[in-house]
Amino acid sequence: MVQIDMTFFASIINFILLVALLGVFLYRPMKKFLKEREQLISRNISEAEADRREAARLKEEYEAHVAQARREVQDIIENAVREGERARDEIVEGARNEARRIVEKAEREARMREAKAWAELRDQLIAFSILAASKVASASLDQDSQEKIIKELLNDPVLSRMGDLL
Amino acid sequence: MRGMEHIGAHTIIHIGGSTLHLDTVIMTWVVIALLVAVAWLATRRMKLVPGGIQNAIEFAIEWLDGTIGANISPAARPCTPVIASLFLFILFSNLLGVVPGFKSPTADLNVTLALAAVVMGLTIYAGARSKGLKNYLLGFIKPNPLFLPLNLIEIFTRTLTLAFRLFGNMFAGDVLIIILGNLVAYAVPTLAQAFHVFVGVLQAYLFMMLSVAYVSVATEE
Repeated sequence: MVQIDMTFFASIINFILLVALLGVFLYRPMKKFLKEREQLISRNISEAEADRREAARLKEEYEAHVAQARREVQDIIENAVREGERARDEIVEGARNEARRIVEKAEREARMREAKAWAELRDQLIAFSILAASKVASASLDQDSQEKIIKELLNDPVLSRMGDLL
Repeated sequence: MRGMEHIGAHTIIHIGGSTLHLDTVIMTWVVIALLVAVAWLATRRMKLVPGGIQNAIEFAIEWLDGTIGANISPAARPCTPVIASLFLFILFSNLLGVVPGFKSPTADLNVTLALAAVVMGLTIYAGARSKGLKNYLLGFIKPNPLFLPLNLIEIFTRTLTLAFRLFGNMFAGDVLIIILGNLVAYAVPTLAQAFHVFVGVLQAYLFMMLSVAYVSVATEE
């Protein structure tokens, strides 16, 4: 039945023993482990936060670099376009000048050839005329008369105009 | 009725002029061995991501620490491991009675009185540590010396009520299971055992919370 005896004291000793054993096998290792894990998690959170800040900084830096590169590329393209347009204008202008020069040269050459042809034609015409006239008049005209006729011919206003035209 | 003659009976050995309930002591050792084994299994190879028994014990320890920490006074915080041990010991002791062939150590008044005495000692220790021994003892004659007997009685009645509440519930549970087992063959004894499990958990929690309250009161000015 219910009675208080040595079991009471044995139970107190047993409980104190239990507290000591749980302290060694449960509370101390568990407390140490939980503390270490808490520190690890706290450290990981801090590192993650630092990494996040670093990533944000790098992103900003990267975006700034990209924007800068984009501006530089835009400048390069604009410069290239300007340079290309300038080169094109120069080439076109040069070509125009060259064409004009060629045309002028050709015109000059053509005019020279034409003049030369006309001069040759006039000389031949004169020579032919003289020849023809001399043959016609050789029988009736002496040397002096021939020279006189030639001079008259040379001074003839019609022939002179012809020579001007040539 | 079958088994009724065994209710409250103990295997007794005599040491010197006193007696010892050998069955109670052995059941207490079984509980201690179980608790230490579970603690050892849970803490021998702890992993960062807990699983299995480590997870369960971590949950239990954190729940105990949180529950006790939320209710105990800051000055009595160092008493947490002892109070947590009280809860674990009483819980395992209460549940052991449900296992066939085993008896709840807490169905023996010697054990519950011993546990209540531990709480009384813890209360006195926490009060003396917090206020200083002299101030703590002077607290017994406040508001005036006429209250000394009342305060002393209060300490002992607290201890006795703690012990008898637990003992009464566990003993009554054992008696109820035996009686129902004799009266009804099926289902009802099982339900009674399930209820005994519930009562066992509840009584462990109650003992813990009352211990927290007593220790906290002792440390407050």
